[in-house]
Amino acid sequence: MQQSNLDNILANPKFQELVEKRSSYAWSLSIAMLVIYFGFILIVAFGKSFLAQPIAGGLMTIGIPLGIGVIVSAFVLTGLYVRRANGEFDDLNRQVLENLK
Amino acid sequence: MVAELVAAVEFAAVKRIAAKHASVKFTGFGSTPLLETAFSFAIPPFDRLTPAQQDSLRAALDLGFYPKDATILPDRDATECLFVILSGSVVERRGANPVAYYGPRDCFDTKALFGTREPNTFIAAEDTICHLVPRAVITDLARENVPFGDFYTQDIAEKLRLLAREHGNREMAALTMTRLGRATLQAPLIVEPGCTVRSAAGLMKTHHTGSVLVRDGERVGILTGTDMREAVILGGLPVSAPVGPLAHYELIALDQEDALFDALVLMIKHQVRRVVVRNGDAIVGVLEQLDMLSFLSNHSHVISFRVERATSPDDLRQASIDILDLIRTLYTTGVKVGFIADVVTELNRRIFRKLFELLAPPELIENSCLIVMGSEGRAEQILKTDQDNGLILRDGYHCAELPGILDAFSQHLIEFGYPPCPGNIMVSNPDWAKPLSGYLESLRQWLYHPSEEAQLNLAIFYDAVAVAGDPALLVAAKNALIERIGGNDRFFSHFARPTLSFETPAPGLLGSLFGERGSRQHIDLKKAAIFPLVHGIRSLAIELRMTKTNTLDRVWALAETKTIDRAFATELAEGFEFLQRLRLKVRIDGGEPVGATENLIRTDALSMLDRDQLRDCLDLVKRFKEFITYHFHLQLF
Amino acid sequence: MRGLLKSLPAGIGAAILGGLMPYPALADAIAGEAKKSAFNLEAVVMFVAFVGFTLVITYWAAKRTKTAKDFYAAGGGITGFQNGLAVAGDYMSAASFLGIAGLVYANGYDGLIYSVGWLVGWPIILFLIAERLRNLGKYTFADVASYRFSQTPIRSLAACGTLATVAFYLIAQMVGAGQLIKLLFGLEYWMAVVIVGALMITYVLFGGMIATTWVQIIKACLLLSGATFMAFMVLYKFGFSPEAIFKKAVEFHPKKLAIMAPGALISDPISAISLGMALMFGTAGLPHILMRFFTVSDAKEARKSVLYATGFIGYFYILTFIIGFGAIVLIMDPSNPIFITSPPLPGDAAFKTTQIIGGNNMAAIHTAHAVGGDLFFGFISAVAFATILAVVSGLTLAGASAVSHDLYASVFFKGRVNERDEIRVSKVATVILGIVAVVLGIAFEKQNVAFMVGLAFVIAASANFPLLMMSMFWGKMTTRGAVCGGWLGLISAVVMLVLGPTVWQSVMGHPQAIFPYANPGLFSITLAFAGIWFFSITDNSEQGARERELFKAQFVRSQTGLGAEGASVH
Repeated sequence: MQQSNLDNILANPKFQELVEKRSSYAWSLSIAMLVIYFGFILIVAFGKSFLAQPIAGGLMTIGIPLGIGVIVSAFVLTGLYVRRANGEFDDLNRQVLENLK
Repeated sequence: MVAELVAAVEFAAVKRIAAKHASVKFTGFGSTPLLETAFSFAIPPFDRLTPAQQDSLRAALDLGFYPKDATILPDRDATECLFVILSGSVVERRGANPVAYYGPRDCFDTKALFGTREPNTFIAAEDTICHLVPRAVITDLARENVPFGDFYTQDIAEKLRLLAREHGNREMAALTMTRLGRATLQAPLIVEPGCTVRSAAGLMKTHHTGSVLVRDGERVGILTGTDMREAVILGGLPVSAPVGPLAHYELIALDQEDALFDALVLMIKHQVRRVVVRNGDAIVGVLEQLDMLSFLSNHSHVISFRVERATSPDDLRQASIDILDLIRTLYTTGVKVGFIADVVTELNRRIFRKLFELLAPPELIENSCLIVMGSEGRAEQILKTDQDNGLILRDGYHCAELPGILDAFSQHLIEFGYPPCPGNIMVSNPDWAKPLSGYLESLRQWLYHPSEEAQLNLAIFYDAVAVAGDPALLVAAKNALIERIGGNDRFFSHFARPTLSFETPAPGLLGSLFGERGSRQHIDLKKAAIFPLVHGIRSLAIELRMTKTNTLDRVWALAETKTIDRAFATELAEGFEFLQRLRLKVRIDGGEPVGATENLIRTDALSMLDRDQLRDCLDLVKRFKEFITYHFHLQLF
Repeated sequence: MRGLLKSLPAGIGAAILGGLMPYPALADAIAGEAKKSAFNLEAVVMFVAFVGFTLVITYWAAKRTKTAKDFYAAGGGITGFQNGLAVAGDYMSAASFLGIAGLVYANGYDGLIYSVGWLVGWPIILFLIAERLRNLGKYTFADVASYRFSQTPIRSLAACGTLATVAFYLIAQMVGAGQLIKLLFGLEYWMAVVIVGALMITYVLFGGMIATTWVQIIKACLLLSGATFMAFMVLYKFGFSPEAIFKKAVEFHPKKLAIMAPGALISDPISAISLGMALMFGTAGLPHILMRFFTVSDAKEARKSVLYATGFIGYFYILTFIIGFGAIVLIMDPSNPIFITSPPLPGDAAFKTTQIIGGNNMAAIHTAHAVGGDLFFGFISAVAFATILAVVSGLTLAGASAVSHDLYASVFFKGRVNERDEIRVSKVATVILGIVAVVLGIAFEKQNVAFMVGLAFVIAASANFPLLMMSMFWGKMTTRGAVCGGWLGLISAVVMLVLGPTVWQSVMGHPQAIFPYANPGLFSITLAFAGIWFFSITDNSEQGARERELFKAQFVRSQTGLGAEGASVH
């Protein structure tokens, strides 16, 4: 691809919009995932006693729903991304490609 | 197991005596009935031995008995003899996989005996009796008897070439093999550009030629009787005019080492009646079409003549029907299948072009491009198969009668015997008759939203060739395609994947073809071998953005770029030609209509030689698939 | 023969009863059996039958009959759902199935930490990496990295990183398979490993359809349904009350209440974070997983497949957690100690979890035996084994192609090599990898396989992931930075692993490890990133400047998929 052509694409407002929207969405979801996961890991490291607390007087500890919650959150975040990527971002991408035709 | 082996060895020792006395009959092991132990010299290449050589071979023969499941030739063991199966059958395994079956009259393992030993094991699939021919005897015989030796020393490609030559010598075909230099050539009649038309005509008459060559300094041109007539009678030129300006200086020429058949192809292609024959830079003569006709009751010329003279679709229909006869004639005279494809492709395209010109107004012809795709585009049409054609219109051009014209076009072709495309890839389908911009949009769709249909469309469009109208339109579309593909490995993997769609029967499947065993006596040549080769090569070609469409051309171009090595390319090219020939052969010999689109062959109906080669070919296809799998990362798909 | 006839009814009866009758009847059937047999004939027959059956099914699936119209059917085909299953099939190796259940069995809650870590890598891959990788159209991270950097140094690094990752991953699978075969056939462990290695090499070399999507899909379905059935039976036995299970588990387990909370496995913050980073980022560096994003032709379907995969894998890990607890209550039940090697029996103070027949890794297999009888025992063993074969074949292929393509063709012969020779080299590499895996598999016999997979992840996360991330996100990176940082990550990870407790202490038998942490991820990953950064910014060479220029083209392409012609034509 020619250098000028590249600069054209980089300067294309649709392209910039796509990159910005997608990147910021992807990064915020990534950060959310990292926070959730490393939050969990830090509790494992520092707050063992917190996780060991039983719920509702039984043997089930807080740690178990919390761990499973992390698994579920991974699934939910993935779902959020897929929904927006398959809709909005794909449309944007198509527009960018059409603009450059 | 040990006991069995001992028994086998003893058995072999005892029977060696029997084998020496040609047709002694004896009772075999267990349930094996009376056996004929004479060595059959009808099995190639033993049929090439002289009686004396047969005797010496017979004297050295050994006989071996192998109970079911006994290992005849262990993995990687050097072997000292060639096994010729007398009765029973043998399976060749690589690891756990059977790679080939051998039945009575088959020999193994020539590769081990004369070349590299592959890590394969040979195991008796049932109680089996083999003749054992010591290697020393074969090598001695090979030294004495060259045709016999050749059979062993050639690898698969060589073997095919040898056979092609054999066919040529035996049955016909001066055409394929005869070099131009040996044909009846008109001695070149060379005149100066200043020579008058009248004296040139006089010379032609005294020398009984139809043309003169005009040497104007460095360049040489040709002037034919027809040219003169037109210039003088129609153009009103005086007979005293010099010939220099009248001659055509773009000579259609071949080297004297080229085959006669190349000349035929050139004549049809350029619509000329003579070609100049060179030896290096020197002109050695002119080959007249008339002389060609004496070699061949020249259907192709007749057809092409009829096509050009056609004034209505009806005329074309007759020409088109004649093509089938031509194929048959060419085939039975032993012409190489590549040449047949060249001629048939050229004639087909000519018919398409003429029909389009008959139906379409000049304005439409100027503003559109008629394309043929698929095998027609690859110039591999040895039979009339489905129509795969389309029309690219210039952007902004409209033609009100277009649908009617295109419907008529498709309809006529169907009448001519070109069956409609099952996928409806024909000009009568608006999807395949649209402006250039429409094609570009479709290409984009196919690339970015790949589906089965998109894959198919891309593959056949990549093979497109322009036959009428403005070829620049097709060039523009193809350039766009190649540009869009970019360097995305993922795309190429998906493109290449159908190469593996169908299983190529382990040559072993042929085992069941030896006869009664197994129900699968048919092989679909197209699915098992031809399609994988064509598509795999197409995939490699598109990855390198090649513009060639013919499979063989692509193979050689791939060898040029070192994508495949030359030895492999040669094997692929020869294998592909063999498969095409076999496909045609089965069709014609089987007495089926040549227009049928079935590709099933009955392997038990094949000759030993064909079966042998088919086995090699299937093995080649398997190795090619392995190559494609590796190259395009298809292990995961 | 007589033995077979005698014991057959018990096995089948158990299976049938297991389906039809409530728990006590089943328990009786199991209790009535021989306590420990080295060679369980029914199970072996089931095992062989099921392995055969799986192979036939996968063969059938890979070669479904196609009609003439279907020449191109293979081109589009796979949906997101199917590919999601295939990704899951690739990912849910038997090692994680056996290993996590084993971890839960031995340590309780700690096993869950592994599951969680393995799962959360997925979203990150999708958000940050998968999309760009697809747009770039590059298969391996070596291909991506050599998009703008010099081929030779990058490819040697990539090949070594891949090989180290594959080696550790293979060890885990070998250990799992070896113990499984040992348990089933009563063979010596080393013999079992050699047999598994031989089978694996044969399978990869001659299998033909080894790692195809359909094979993985079927493996995933079998594994998911098997695990679902096991978890269901465990819950069923306790009236679907987790509380009841926990109660019994705490009662039987020697660690008592400690199994309900994080324990000794992750003893300090550094270990915890190290492990977390390795598990999370390692996924992105696994060669055989990354390639799965390419098998779907449509981008939308490819994204969906990650969602499905996350769902399947998450569900599967929750199941293994339940199965692990099921293992505690069923195996350690003092009233029915048929899966325990010798006294002291469960309940005694001296009882150790390692007394389980075949070791911790076999906890899930025994649980299958306990809930489903010999039939199900054979089934689960067969599925686990077939899964190991499938995963191992994918890994071996990745490793072999790293050798043949990256090392042999690109590094040693600078691309001047015939591809048919490459294929030959990759076959040789397969055999060598198999042998190495056998040797290491024997050396690491006693390790928990989930933990071993964790080590593979550390290497992937240290050597491959930083390079992949930085080359896609950071324009100022140069070859020098990539190579120095990559090697730093790889070498530090391997050295710290070797000097750490796992190898230095457990395998080599030294009394004290030189490097204190079992998981060095935090250090090696940081080193790799820092190395890439430092050696890139200090790189003032002309070549470096040119490579920075190329980032623009790579960036545009990674965002839109617009091809940069010529850039990939080497």
